[in-house]
Amino acid sequence: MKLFLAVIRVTAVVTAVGLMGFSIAYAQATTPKAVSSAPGTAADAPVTAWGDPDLQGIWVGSTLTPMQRPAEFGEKEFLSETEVATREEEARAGQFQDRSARAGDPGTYNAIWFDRGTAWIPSRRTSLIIDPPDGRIPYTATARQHERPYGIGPFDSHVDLDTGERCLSDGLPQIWFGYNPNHQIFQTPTHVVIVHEMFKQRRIIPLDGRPHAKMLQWNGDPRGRWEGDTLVVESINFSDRPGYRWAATWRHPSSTLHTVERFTRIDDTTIEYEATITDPVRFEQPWTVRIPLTSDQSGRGVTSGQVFEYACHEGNYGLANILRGERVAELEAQR
Amino acid sequence: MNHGHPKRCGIGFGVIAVILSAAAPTGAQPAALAVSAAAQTNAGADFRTSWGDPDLQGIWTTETVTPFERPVEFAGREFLTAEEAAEFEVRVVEGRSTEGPLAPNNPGTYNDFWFDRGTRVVQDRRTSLIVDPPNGRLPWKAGAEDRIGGTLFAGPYYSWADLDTGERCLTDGPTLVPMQGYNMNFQILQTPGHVAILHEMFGNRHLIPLDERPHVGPNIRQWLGDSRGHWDGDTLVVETVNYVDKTEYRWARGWRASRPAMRLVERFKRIDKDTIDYRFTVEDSSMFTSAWTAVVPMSQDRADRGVADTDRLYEYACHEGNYAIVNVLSGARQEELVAK
Repeated sequence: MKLFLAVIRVTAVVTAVGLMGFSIAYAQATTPKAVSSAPGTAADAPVTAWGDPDLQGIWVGSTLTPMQRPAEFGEKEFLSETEVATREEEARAGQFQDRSARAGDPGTYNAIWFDRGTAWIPSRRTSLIIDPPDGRIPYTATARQHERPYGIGPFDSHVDLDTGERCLSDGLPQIWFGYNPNHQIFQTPTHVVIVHEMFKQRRIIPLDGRPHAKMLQWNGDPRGRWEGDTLVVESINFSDRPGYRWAATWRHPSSTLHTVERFTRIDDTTIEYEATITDPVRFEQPWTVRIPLTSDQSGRGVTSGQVFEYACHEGNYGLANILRGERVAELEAQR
Repeated sequence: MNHGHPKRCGIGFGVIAVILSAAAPTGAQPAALAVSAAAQTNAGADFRTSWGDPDLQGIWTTETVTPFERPVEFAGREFLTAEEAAEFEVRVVEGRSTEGPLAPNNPGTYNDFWFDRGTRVVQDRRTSLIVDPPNGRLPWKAGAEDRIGGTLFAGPYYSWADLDTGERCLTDGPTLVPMQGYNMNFQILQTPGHVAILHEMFGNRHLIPLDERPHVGPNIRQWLGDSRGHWDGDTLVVETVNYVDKTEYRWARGWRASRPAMRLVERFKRIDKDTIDYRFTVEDSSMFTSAWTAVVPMSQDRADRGVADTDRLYEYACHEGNYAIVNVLSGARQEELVAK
């Protein structure tokens, strides 16, 4: 239902700066006790009528926990309960507060539009990345060259905007907590389908052991299997779109990308989700992110409800306006 | 599997329509076949999910050469004979090749290899997919068709919004009616509480709760509406309302335009291994003089329908290859310059 404006990450940057500006003394956090440090399966986790672990439902991963560990946390792996409580309280208080845009900044969606969540993940980790241990993406030098500052142009054509702004895709895994965070999972004995509200994506995952197709796709070609109670999804054959702009360097598809995702239902309202991302061109080593997905939308502080349509292109005035704005700026510069 | 929706892909349809209406009526009145006889049996009862619901799951196609509306040449006739059907299939397939010489100023369209339109009529050899009203034609109110459909390829082409919703890679609207084009694959998945229908084309996904929850509020409107399903015996009945008002948009087929007055009721019944009897009724007193109903058998026997075999749905990457919109607009600007 919501569209994607170019200016959106202005706010994201502001938020990140705000977090880093917290002057809270982060005393050595006590390591949380037995908080799903490794995926397991509760004996009472639901199963389907045909006996597979039941992953079905509407799930969100939205959380305040950053994907990469912010510099302020140094080597600290977990926050204390107090530190989490402070941050959550701050987030709840600011959830519907609009900030005025700075001079020259066209602004972004208002606060009611965003739906980012207000909860830290239960383990209180300082990053969603659990490996490497520093919680940071192990970019190669080559990949860093592709990381370009956001919002600097050029804006000569629609292809100069990033794939998200173009309403195409932000790539996999779909870890973006701005809005439309719902995922609905459907299962049959031979398939798992994951429908993402955002970008209207649907991933169709055969479980029947068939070989990979040769066709290259934006979201690759996934194959799934059950390892005990864990659904393991391996994807290769991602489209190579190195000429495209991507909002997040780590997420764009490439022919050298290989992802392994693990879904384990650990209780009534939780799926432990892990993704290991391997791409020797972009990363020095494989790296792993772990996110507890929850069906308790309000518990994470996001809007409750069903999966809706994602109508993006037809409301994407942002793209035309950016190009028009740039042409006006060019004319003014010539004067 | 095919990507993109170029400006000129409808030209082939125009050609077919001309051939159909030019053909001499056969006049023969075939004995009425036992329509959907299978639908009356319990053959489909063997297909059940492990929790006991009728099993609709699989990858289905609706492609057929049977026309949506009854062509003039078949006026007054509900069915073709086997011979007539065979002759009709050949005529349609031969008539729609896109690989002959092009008319002057016609930029052409996809080649035949790209299209995947099916080569067969539906099994009961109906002359139209529309079964009600009995004349097999859409019961348009006076002027409604012109207002919402317009004339394809007549322009103007000032903006991308002047192209139709399909050309803009948005949607062709609700229902599983085949467009006789490409990517006409549908995958159905079921859980005890939901049915999901994924369309290869446009990447649409139709999520249907079965748990008797009420429709979302009237302020939440969607291109494909808000659907609720229930089982009526062995038939899945899906009722959809809350369509968004997009009547100002161009639509390749006006009846599929999203508009608030529409109420759609679709019925799915598995009648054998390879067949779902799919039928739907459209109610919209703003556009039609009466409700109308079409029957579109869904098949898993792709060879029988004459479309490419597949065991999966692929991504539908449309926008990123949609050079046609830019080229159409650029061509229109060029024509303006030349006219000056």
